[in-house]
Amino acid sequence: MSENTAENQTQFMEDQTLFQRPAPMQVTQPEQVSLGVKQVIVQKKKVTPKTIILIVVGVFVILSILLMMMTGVGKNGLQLSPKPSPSPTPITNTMSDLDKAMNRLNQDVIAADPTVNDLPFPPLNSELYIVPKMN
Amino acid sequence: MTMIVIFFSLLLHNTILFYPLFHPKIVFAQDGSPQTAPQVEISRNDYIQKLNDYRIKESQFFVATEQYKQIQTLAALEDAVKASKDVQLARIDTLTAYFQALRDTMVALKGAEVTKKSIQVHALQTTIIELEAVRAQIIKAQDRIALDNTSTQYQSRNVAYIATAYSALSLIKISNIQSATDQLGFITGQVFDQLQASSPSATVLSEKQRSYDELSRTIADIKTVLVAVMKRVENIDQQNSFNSSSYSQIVDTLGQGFSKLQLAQSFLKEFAK
Repeated sequence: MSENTAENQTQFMEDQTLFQRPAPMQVTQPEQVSLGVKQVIVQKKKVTPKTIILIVVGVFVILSILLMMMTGVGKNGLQLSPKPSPSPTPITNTMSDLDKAMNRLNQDVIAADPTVNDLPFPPLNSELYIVPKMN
Repeated sequence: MTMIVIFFSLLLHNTILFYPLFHPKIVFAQDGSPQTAPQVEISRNDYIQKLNDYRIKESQFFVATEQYKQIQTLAALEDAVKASKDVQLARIDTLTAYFQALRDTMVALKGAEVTKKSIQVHALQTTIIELEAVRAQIIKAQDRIALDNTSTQYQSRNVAYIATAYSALSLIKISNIQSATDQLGFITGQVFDQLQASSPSATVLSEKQRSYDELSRTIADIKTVLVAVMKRVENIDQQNSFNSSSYSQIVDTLGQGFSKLQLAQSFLKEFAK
């Protein structure tokens, strides 16, 4: 009775409708939870300038190591003064000359095989008569 | 970001442009194969072309003469005369091209004695001039009898053509072995000089000295074979009796020298290690 005779006339707005199942109470909870998760994700994705600097420095170091490996700077230490181009030593020259001479010799030996005749006498018929000779 | 792009650009630039310069493993070696003189190639190709042309004309000639034998008409005779003229001209052209190829090979030949080489070149040139004269006679010939006479003339000279060819071929074969042997001796001397200059240990020097002596002996053996073959060639030349049989004998004897040359080459490879 006290319920039906409530003096507060605006209370029914907040009351549940008759013959209707009450809405689940946890409807509002996922929103709150997802908002929390979103905040966490946003916080995780946020890259600080410090991270950028670290990544750049890391990439720079890796690429520097690669460059040093490829150019061979690391072997004799970094040289700041301009490095003169290596002049061919006499031994290297002699070796390459020797190799060339050996190659030429190999070709000449192959060409010197007496059993190979690339210009044999042409197989021409020496008896070309309209009327064959009677011997 | 700009720095990264600049860095990558520099890295790529260095890698592409300077990597081959600093890296000792990359070597752009030149092709060491010997170049054949272009004139020799041209004359050889010309000879092959002429020989192919001759083969076609020869088969046409046999067809024409066979027809003439069977039907014995004036038209068949005219066809046979024309075919005879064509095939004889093709034969002379082929032989001329062959001797020109031999002459060009002889001119470009290394290792041959200058006097012997000039004698052979002169002989080949004389034969080419003679063949041109024979060609002129064939062009003049108009009937069956005249063409059969030019054919007889060719047959009588064929032995001389063969002798000239095989004599030249023998000198070419001897000179090729001579040239390779000279080169082998030169390289052996160079390698030994380098070895002595590098002041090796007594054991190494002694071992290399033995190899050097063995190589020198083998080279001397090759030269002995070549001198013997050359004398034989001169004897056959004097008798003007060079033919395919005597050439085969020369090749057999040269084979001994060639085997020694191959042996010496393998010694040299060991010696140069």
